[in-house]
Amino acid sequence: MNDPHIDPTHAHAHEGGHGHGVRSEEDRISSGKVVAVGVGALVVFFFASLAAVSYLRLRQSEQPPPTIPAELGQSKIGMVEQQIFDVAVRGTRDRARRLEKLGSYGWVDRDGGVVHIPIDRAMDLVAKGVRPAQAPKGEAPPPGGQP
Amino acid sequence: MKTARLAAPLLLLLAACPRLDPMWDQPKVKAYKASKYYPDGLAMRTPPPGTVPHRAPIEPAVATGRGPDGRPLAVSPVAATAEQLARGRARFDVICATCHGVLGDGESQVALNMSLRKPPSLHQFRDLADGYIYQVISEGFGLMPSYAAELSVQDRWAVVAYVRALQLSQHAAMEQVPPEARERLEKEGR
Repeated sequence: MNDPHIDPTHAHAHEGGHGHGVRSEEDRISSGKVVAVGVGALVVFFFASLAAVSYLRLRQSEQPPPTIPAELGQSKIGMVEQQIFDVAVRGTRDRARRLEKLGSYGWVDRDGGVVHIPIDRAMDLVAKGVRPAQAPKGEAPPPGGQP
Repeated sequence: MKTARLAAPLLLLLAACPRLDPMWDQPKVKAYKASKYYPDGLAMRTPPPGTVPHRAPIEPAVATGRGPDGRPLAVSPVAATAEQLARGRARFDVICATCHGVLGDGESQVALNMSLRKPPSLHQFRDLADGYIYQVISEGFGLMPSYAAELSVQDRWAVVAYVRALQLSQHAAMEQVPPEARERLEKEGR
């Protein structure tokens, strides 16, 4: 009775010994070939990318320049609020507006007679001992009082 | 040859080990730590008798912003000269205006992104003592941290003087406006 754990064809092959001349290929990987395939792929992708970029630029140059949408600059386009996308511009604009206020005369409260004056003039006044309204008064600092 | 190839990356890995860094362990003492080199076992030493500071000592009122009674000084102990104000303006624009705004009104790009608690306008604190403003800069208040590391004692008093100038510039009386500008203001509307 044949042993069920032995493959009959395999067993037959062994019966003949190694004289049949068929040998399995040696299980070795050529590192050099693997690296060569990788480098080759990189080179192919590099030139393919260059070709794709050149092609896209060529197509873009054939197209007319994009027109600016008429809705641009509006605070609301359709149902989308645009103010939230305007943060960078708003920061610069607000700072310029505040600097302009910091260097000019103007009314703060006309009924109360309160105005804003340029900071340079305010610094001159403070250097002469003037203090803002409601600021606590006290003895003048000792001359030459330096930390 | 194979051993040499393996050794190179292993050597590189060894170089990444911090414990092999000779600077890791240094024979030094740290503050408030024990030391076996002194009989009392303390690392921190008392200065020898007769030791004097190498810089002029800062008066307590100037250093703390508080008077002898412990209350904030009403007026800065440092004279608000033109140089002091110019220094305060430069420091304010770099350190303080980031949150409080160049006008000191609490409107800035950073303040827009502060959802928990926005920096207040400095113009509502005109009645505060100079020493109190100095203390807030030195010790912090609320969400504002201490700026003692960024601003020296002299810089802090300079900023206090500039904050007073800012408050005056945005809350001035008509008498403080020159005649030529006063005429123009009278003509224009609100």
